[in-house]
Amino acid sequence: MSPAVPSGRGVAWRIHLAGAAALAVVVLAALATGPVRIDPVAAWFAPADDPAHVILVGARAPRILLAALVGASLGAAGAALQALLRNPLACPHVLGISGGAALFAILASVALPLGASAALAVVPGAAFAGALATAALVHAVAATAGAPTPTTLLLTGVVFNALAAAMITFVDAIADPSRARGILSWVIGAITVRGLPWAALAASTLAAGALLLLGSARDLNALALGEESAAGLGVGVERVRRRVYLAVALLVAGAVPVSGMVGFVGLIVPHLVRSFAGGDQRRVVPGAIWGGAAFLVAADTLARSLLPTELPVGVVTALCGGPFFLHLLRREGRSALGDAG
Amino acid sequence: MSRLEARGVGLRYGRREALGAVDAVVAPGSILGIIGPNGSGKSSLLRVLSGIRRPDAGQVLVDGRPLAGLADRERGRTIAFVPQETHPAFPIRVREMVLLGRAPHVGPFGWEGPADLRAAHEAMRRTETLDLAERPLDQLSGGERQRVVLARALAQEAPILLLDEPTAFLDLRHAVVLLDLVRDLAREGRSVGLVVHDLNLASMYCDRLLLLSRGAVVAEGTPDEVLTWVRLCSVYGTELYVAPNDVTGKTVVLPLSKEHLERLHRGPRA
Ligand SMILES: Nc1ncnc2c1ncn2[C@@H]1O[C@H](COP(=O)(O)OP(=O)(O)OP(=O)(O)O)[C@@H](O)[C@H]1O
Ligand SMILES: [Mg+2]
Repeated sequence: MSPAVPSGRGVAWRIHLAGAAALAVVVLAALATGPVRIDPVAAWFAPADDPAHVILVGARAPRILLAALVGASLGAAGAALQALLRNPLACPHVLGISGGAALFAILASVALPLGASAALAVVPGAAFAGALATAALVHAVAATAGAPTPTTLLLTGVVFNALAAAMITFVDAIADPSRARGILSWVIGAITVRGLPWAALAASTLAAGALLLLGSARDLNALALGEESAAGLGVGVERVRRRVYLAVALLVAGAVPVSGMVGFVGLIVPHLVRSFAGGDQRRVVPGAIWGGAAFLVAADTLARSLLPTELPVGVVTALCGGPFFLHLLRREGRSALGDAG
Repeated sequence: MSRLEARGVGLRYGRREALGAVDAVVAPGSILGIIGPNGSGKSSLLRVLSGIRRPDAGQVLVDGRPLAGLADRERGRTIAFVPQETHPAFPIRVREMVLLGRAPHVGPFGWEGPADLRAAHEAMRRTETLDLAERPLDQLSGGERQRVVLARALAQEAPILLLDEPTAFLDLRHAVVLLDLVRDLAREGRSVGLVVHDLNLASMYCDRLLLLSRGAVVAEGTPDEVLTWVRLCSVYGTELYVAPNDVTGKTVVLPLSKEHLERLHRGPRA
């Protein structure tokens, strides 16, 4: 009997290898690129007061690290949401989950007179609460409509994003400039280096969220067939759903305080991964983690080196993502936005 | 071998009652056919029997133990349920689809091992879908799809098989081939519950029938006991021709068009 049914185990390892390799290449290129070209390897081993070493370690490496963490978080969250909602247009930004997180985070940081260490505890907590609240709303919309049309879901997101953008702009206008400094860039999304603790926080939420999602990947495969089929396959649908929303909220809560509402990463990356790794979530989720990191590092490098002045990375992702989104809309056509269901 | 039993189950969707105090038994080695008009609650009963919906009243028992007490994965290893429709959200190949039947056997971080691959292969052999293994599911004909979905259920290796209209979209030959296979599966000791629209197929293949109307059991018994002319005409609300046929000896049911009815009423002169 020939094995007509090969296992995918080998492919999963190849995803991790390929993803890590791609990220390494992008990171090396990103370390070298900037107003001053430097040789990352030579600069790393240069003396501590060497200008190239200072640029590399003091400026570029932290920023790249942060971009990678944010990109990985958003990529993983997007992959999971697309699978959970059976909607190729879903991602934390489009659904308004990033917007909800940003809204809460900003309200917390402006309303409460926080010192740096208190902010570290409160702002991500508020972002997490905002992300969870929006996710719950998305879920409520998804559940009441039975099988919600993608349009309903996307419109919920549109509303939340508009609300978040309005609040951010409002707060920026009225708040004490010292405390509200830079928050306007949250609307479009920019990598904001805020020090090691914030990076460590994003790394921990990424680790926790990724672990939850990797453990749910097989259930997400079943859910792609529809709720009833998944339940018939022994998947606890409600439990998986809660776990995925929790993971997404964690991932977004880690990303938003250091980047704001960066769009389209979670939308594009899972599609790219699926196009060469197939639809199995046990490959898509790890692929989206590595791919998201590489994608956002590349985008941020473009953002800070394309023009003499620095652009927020969200400009670059939106410029790539907008057309891509339209392309998806066109391709999915009626099947995705189907009134026919 | 497992016996599945619903005792006085009721189910409501919001305010609408879909089932009220229904009893049903899916016994090892046999096929229970669930029949009834559209909206009579056939799919709802199958959902309750399969444990994917908790009944609002009554309970479902597996070998005398409450189904609600089983963990999700254990339930997936005990009952294979195929809903009326399956629309994968993403492109999926036939072999991946069948392998999903192994979901309840594989752990959260797991990949399928040799035993899982063997089970999937065997399921595809029996449903004659091996040749389709690499085809994308959305490019198959309706009949091929039904066979693939059945293969997935078989790969689950569950003693109880619940299928919602597996012969919808199938032509005569494919319907017969599929139900022949289902009957073999039952004869091997599985307990099979089946929703069927075609009363002739139900009469030919099922050991027992359960006739539902508006969420209640109208009749339960062997096909000959259940499929009577008066009962069917009233439940389906249309005139029918019901009689045993010469070849199988089983009951055949024929709907009658308005034209034929008028001719009948005018008498043989016409
Ligand atoms: N998810 C749902 N939400 C609300 N009402 C539902 C739902 N599913 C079924 N119903 C209602 O419950 C009743 C029974 O539906 P069910 O699907 O069980 O019927 P059925 O016998 O399988 O019909 P069909 O032959 O058309 O498949 C119908 O009145 C239907 O409108
Ligand atoms: Mg039905």
